[in-house]
This record gives sequence, C-alpha cells and structure tokens, in this order.
Amino acid sequence: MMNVLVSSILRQADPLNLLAVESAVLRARGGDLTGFIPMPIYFLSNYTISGIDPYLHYHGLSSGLDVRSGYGDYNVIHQSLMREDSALHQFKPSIVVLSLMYDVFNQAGGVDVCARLQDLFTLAAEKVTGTVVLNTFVSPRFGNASAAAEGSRAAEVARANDFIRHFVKEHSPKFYLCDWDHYVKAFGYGDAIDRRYWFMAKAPFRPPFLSSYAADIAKLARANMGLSKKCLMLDCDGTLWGGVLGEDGIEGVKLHPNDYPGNVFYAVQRSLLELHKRGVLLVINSKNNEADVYDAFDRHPHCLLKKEHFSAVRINWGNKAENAKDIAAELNLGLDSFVFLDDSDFECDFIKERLPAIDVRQVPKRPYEYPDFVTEIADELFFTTSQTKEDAARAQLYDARHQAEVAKTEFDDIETYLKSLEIVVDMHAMRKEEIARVSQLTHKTNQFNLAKTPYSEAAISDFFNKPNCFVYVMVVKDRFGELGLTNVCIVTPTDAVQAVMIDSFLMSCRVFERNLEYAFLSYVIEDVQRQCGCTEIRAKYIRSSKNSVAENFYEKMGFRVVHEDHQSKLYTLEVSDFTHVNFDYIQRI
Amino acid sequence: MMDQNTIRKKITEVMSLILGVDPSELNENSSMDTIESWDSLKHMKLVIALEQELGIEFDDEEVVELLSFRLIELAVANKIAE
Repeated sequence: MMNVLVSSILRQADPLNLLAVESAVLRARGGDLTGFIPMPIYFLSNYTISGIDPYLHYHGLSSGLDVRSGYGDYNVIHQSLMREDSALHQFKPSIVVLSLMYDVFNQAGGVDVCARLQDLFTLAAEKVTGTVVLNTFVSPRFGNASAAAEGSRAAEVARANDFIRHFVKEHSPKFYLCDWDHYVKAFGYGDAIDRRYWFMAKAPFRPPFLSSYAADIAKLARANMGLSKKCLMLDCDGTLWGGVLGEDGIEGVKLHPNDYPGNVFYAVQRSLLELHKRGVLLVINSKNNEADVYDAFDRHPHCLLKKEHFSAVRINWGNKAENAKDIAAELNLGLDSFVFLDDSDFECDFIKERLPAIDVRQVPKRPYEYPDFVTEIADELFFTTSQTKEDAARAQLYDARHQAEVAKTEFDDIETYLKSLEIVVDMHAMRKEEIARVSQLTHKTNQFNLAKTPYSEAAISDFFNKPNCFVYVMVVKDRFGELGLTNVCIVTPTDAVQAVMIDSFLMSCRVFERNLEYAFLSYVIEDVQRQCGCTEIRAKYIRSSKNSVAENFYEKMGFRVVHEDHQSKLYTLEVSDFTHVNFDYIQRI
Repeated sequence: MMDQNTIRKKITEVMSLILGVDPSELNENSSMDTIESWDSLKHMKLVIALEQELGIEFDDEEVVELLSFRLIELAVANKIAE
C-alpha cells in the first residue's frame, strides 16, 4: 500500500509544472518508499530526452513505482541494442523507450523511413527482454496543405505513423505506443513544442508534453506490474445523474441524450458502461433509498446503467467508509484496487481520511468537464495491457450495437435491416436456472406486458412445478452479441378442460421492433397444444399507463375479443383457426 | 507587477531546487563557474523553470547569457518590464 504522506505530496503538485514536479519528487523521495516497486526504464533516442526525468519519477511515484532511469547516448541506438555489454543491457530495464524524432531520422530527406523503422523495431524485438515503447511522430505544424502531395514531409510523417501504429498493434503487448500527436493536440503546438530548444539543443518538448509522455510510460509500467485498479465505486445523485433522486423523482433527475446538463451524465454513463464491458467492476456506494435507485435503473428512459451492471451495491444511509469496506470484503479485493467517485466534498474527504488506500476522485464542479474527466480516469487508472485483444473486441461489439441503432434509420426497408441483424432465437420451456430472470422480468417489464402481474421467484417456481402450467421463454442473440432472456409467456389452466389461459405475455424493450413477439406466441400456441391437447386459448390485455404498445397484439394474432371494458380486454382463439407465423430473418435453434 | 524582492526570491527558489544547492549558498555572484552542478542540461531546466514560474519567455540570445544569478536577475527584470 502506498505511503499516505508521499501520495499527498504528489497529489498537491501540478504535474505540468517543472518546479512543482522537481520539488514534489525531492520531498517524496525523502519519505518512506517501502512497498514501492522498483522500475528500471531506459531511453534510447536520437535527440535529447533526459528532460523527461523529473516527470518520469513523479508519475512513477504517483503509481507506486520507484523508477530508476537511464539514458543512452545521443543517437547510438543500434549499437546499444546490438552490443551485449552496452550500458542498455547492463541496466536490465523492464521498459525500453525507443524515442525517435522524425526530423533526425530523415534530416536531408529521401530516406525510406518505414524501412529503417522496420529494421530498428525488429532489432529491438530481438534484443530487448522487457516492453518496448514506441512513439508516433508529431505532424508538421505547417505544410498540411501539401499533405496530399506524394513525397511531402506531411505525407511522409503520416505514412510513417500509420506504419508505427500498425506495427504496435501487431506486436502488442511486447510493443506499446505513445501517441505524440495526441499530446500536441491536448495542449496545442505552442505549449507542447519548444522550437527554440529544438534547434539550440535538440530538446524539442515543453513540460506539458514531457509530463504526458512520462504519465503514459508510468501507466504502462503500472499495468505491467498488475497495479491497475479493478473496481470503480460510484455514488448516485450528482454522479450517475444530475439532481437528487429522492427529491426530484425519476422524471426530475438530469439524464438525457440531448438536453444539458442531462447529456453530461448520459455521456458519463456511456463511458461507465464501456468500462464495464472492458471488465472493470462497477459498484454503488450511495446514500439513497434503495428502491428509488432500482426504480430509476428500471424506469428512467435514458438510464443506460442497470442493476445487472453492478457487482455490488450498498444503498443506505450509513457511512460510506463502512460500506466501502463491506464491498471490498464482498468482492474479495484490496482497498487499493478501488477508485471512489463522488460529487460531494464531504464524502470524498471522508473516504480519503478513513480509507487512504482508496483512490478518491471528485466529480468536477463544472458539469461539462465531467465526461472527459471520466475518460481520463478510465484511461489512467483502469488501463491494462492484456485488455488489447479480447476486451477490445467486446468493447467493439458494444460500439457496433450502438452503431446498428443509428444505422437502423438508414435502411429504407425494415426487413433488410432485420435480415442484417442475423437474429437467432432459442424458444423453450423455462429451465430451473431461468426462474430468477423470469421473475425479474414480470416485475420490471412495463411496456410490452399484456397483463402485468409481478411474480416472486417462489411463484414462478410454483408454475414450474405444476404439470398443468407452462412457462415459456425466448433467449435472443444477434450478430452484435447476446441479448439474453427477453420474452416470457405463462400459460395456466382454466375451468374448461379444453381451454388454457395466457396469464402473462411480456417482452423486454431491448428487443422491440423485430417481430419476435409474433414468432414467440406462434411457438407457444404450437407447443402448448402439443403438450395438453387444448383446442381453445384464452388471453387478456390489462391496460396500464405504459403498455399501449401491446394493446392490439392479440387481435393481430387472430384472437377474438369476447369482452371489453375500459380497463381490459378478454380474448379467445380456436387453435384450429390459427395460422402460424414465420419470419425468414429469425433463425430458430 | 512583481517587485524586485519577489523576483529575487523566486530566482533563488528555482536555482536552489534545480541546481540542488542550499538557498544560503546562493548570492549575486553565483554562476556556472562557482556552482559545480550547473551544466548545460541543468541550464536548460533552469530556463524552463524560470519561464514557467515567472510567465516569461527568453529569446535564443538571452538564453545563452543567463550565466549567473546577477545576469538572470537582470534579464528577468528586463523581460517583465517589456
């Protein structure tokens, strides 16, 4: 665990200010560094990079790393790599930073930079035992008008950068990329690049650039050592949405795709969801009424986060430090695996004081700064090197689904769109392990729910055990991933032997607009008839304030209304009259 | 506007920290010749720290002239007066 004094010294310093960084490192090094992990980092470069040193120590210490740094002599990269007794190899670095300036590589012009890079990277792959850090080149500030011209400097830099990005992608996690253009973009050319010292001393970078570069390297070092955070602990009011749920109600809290400031929280939820997809655990530690929060998850039309995204939840009026300890015990994680995110000064200070091992981050006071703030936390604290392949694929899946929602409007013909989804459904009699989910759906499905009756797990279990009751479910996936168990139908006996009753028929809103309800009911009718030989099927629609979307569903399926009042409709269907429906874009397994 | 005393204090702080010498050892005559650790890399850091702390930027010609406490103080005063 990191020394509290050291961490507070570091946190108070502005990481972009040289003097502050120097002073913080000096003072931190005077403190107790027990438990800090030694981290040897060696630089090979074709320009002067030693100015990064204070920032490297600073970001290293901030990450629990005791950095030992070494710098190869100017432009002796090949020799350092090749000779077994070079200072580089004697240093035994965990990380080698191969730091290259384009201008030095190709000073007179005419060099095939990509070929040279390829040689150098291959040599580094062979000779370095640790991780190799590469960089993209900074795009020229001027001359972008000529970028398209073959052979222009801008075009060459762009081509080299493409090559480098591709190489790192192919050779991850052995190679890691620091995107220099990104630092320039973040601070602006003038604040990132020092042309004066570039020409005077081959030292091209100003403090903001050097500090960002060092932070990226420290981030990699921390991930290599398995020190990345694992769990994000979230408050609710002011953190997941704007306003106070208990006072403003679900309709009053700020959470909306387009309206400010609700769109800030919507963007934040989107980022949190991405973190979840990447395998970061999300937990809630909130002072609120538990039922209100769950209600918001279920019913707020724009709440992207749902109960199932959280690995542990503590919603009560107790103190948050106790809750945090509880959650850590439940998840079997050390407190130093947690990041605590809250908008309240009081709660942040309270956790900092009581549980200094937890990394506390406070929601910015200016709402519009909040989404970038979350992205930064995600990037800085939850970065892992192993995430590259599989987790990135999962994140992509999520993105693809979102894009599919957007793309939907672009299909002129809905059937073409549905075909492109490659929907696969598994319809079957409910299995024992599905009872909990079915019960949950009877509680939380409000829109496409013909006659909403919430059933406990025990009640669903009863249906499951009775021979004359039938519970059917539909499990859906499409080319973007698993949508899970989305449809439920409960069939019960009636006082007439030949007739059964559809007691419940519901569909989760996540699979609307795919005609799955028709395919599902068609299957139910077919199977229930086979099971019990019924000739008549009865059904009911009970009106609520939310289920008008399903109002004429049974009519569309050929049911006849036998009774209607302002609250409900009762139906009947002669099974022999029923025409089964099939959709060629819904594949059954 | 910073007064001379504040500037002097700031320069002392920067030089002491960057060059790793005790503030009490610094005086007007402290220079590259009297402070052993003051090499070309430290010099660059010194310039950058002074620029960040005082919100100024030195030209190429000024940079190479900042060779002692007195010269730095003069150059800073000139810059701030500009």
